[in-house]
Amino acid sequence: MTVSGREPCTKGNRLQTTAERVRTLTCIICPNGCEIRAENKAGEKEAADWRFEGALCPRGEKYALQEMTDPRRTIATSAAVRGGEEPLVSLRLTEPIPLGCVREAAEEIHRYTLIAPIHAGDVVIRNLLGLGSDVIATRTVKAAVKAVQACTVREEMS
Amino acid sequence: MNEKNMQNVRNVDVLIVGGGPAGLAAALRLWEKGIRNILLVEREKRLGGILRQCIHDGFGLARFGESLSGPEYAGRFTEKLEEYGIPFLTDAAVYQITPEKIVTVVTKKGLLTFQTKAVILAMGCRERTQGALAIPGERPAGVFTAGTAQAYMNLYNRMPAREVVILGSGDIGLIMARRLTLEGAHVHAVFEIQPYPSGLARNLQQCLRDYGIPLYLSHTVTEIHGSSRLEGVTVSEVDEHLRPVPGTEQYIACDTLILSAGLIPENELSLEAGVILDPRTKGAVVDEHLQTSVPGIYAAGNVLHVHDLADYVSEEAELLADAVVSGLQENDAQEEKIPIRAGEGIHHTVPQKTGGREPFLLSFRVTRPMQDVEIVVRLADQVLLRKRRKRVVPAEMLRFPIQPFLNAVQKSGEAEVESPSEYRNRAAQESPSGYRNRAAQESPSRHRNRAAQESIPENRNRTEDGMCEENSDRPAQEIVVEIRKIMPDEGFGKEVE
Repeated sequence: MTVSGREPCTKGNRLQTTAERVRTLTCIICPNGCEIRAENKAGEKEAADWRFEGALCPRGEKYALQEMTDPRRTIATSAAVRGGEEPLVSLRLTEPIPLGCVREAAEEIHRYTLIAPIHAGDVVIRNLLGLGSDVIATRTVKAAVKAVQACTVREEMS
Repeated sequence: MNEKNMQNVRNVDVLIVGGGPAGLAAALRLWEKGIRNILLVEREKRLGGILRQCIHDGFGLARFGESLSGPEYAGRFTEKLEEYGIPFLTDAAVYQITPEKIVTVVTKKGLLTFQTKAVILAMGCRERTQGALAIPGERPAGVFTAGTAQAYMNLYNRMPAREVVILGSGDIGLIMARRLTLEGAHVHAVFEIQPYPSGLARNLQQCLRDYGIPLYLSHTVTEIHGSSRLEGVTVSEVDEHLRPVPGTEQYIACDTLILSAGLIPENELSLEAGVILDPRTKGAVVDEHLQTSVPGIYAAGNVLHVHDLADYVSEEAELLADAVVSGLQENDAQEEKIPIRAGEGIHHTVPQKTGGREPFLLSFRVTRPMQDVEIVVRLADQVLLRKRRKRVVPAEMLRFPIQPFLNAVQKSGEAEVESPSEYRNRAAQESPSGYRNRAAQESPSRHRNRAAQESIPENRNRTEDGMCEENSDRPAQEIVVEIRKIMPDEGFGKEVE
């Protein structure tokens, strides 16, 4: 496991501007993809300051408030693996991160090459870019047989 | 098959073809219901099917209540499969299924032959390719289906593209637009020939708009340029008949064209087994048990009809497994089935016929985006389902449970059972003039058009459109699924789901 040692990403701290008092959003929480019209009444970040129309469920309104005040996404990507049965392992974030930090997050993850074996669910980077989200493996990559033998031999020698 | 081979035939109760979300779910359910002599056969070297390369999240929301990636979703099933010790073969391709349900499997160690009582088709689907799209021009490297690009990136760790154009707004193409962008490629745009997107709205948002990738509707690629590697594409607007409009051509330099123009169920094995296909779904014609036209051969998942969500694929396969279990136990005779027809505004339905005695899940898609609609499922004048929806789109498969409308199943041939033909006779006596005329008289404004459309000959043979093959000799008793716009004066109540 690696702790990302870089400065926290601050690109996501985008405050809502008054120009964006009314917006139509597409909810991404479930496949319904509700179109939600969001209207800001007071210009603050509280739920009471907003009016939402078009969501078929309460999760939609929660999403819309989040989207209007601090839009966040999770990403899925991959990292190269050395000594594994597969050349790479698929990864995802445990928590959504600010939308503005998504590209930087992907670039950061790509700096790593991982060593097999890796188990599904393993945390491979903790607190990515200081954003409070971990990167976990979503697939198990077993060590290739040859790599295991090489390690054994090395241990015996030392 | 010769004498020598016959000796090597092994008996298996249920053989499952394909280890993706459908096959895995079916195998688990069969095992949990006590059917132990089963075998799952997977062509690739690992189980999981296409989920293995779908590393994005969004799987399992309906089933597990959390957003998993494809490999994690598959893992939930394969872990259980291993825990139970369910027999499976990988690196093994089913070569043939006969109508007698003899299955031949090619493995590295040679051919294996199985005599089965039931076969579950769970082969999934293929992507529509460049050839199927018929784009004129050269055939350089750099033209991939979205799934091929996905496999390069997510299974083999190879970056297939730098400057990308995507043709077709299917979900896999949208997912790949995001993946390519995050991996450092430049996605110029997505072009969709239809006037509406074919992918889900949430993917348009989180895969395109989030990254500023433009989507052009009513546009298509009209020429491919390049000799060894793709150098560019010509893109044109299309008119309402989807024909390119001269003078709208635009050249875009790119090294990769990604096709995401639909999926086609992979039914070569099914056809050889004698399974009749529905030309609309390109999958088998099935009854409410998801049994095909060949008794004992069942189909579920994307081989039956293309789904939007893996969760629904797994659920469908479990319903299928339940039906297989009762089929094995009761050996039920082929009862008469009532055809289900895709009426106004409906592209296709699954199943395409039902006995009417058991509840089933009716799946269908609409032909075009519509707002404020009512969906009606009816058998003559009997309304089986009436649902209102604010918004329907072809990208979203609609699914509703349908309750039994004939007498419920009664075991061991009790006299109470009313067969569809008895029901038809009774129905005919009760309303001799037929529903259509009556409906037209009763509420002319609402029913006139529909009634006019449906005044088809009673003995209409539906074999020609493949919807139901066994129906030619009897009066057209059928279930109709249709959708209509709710007029403003009808209001729009709170019946929305």
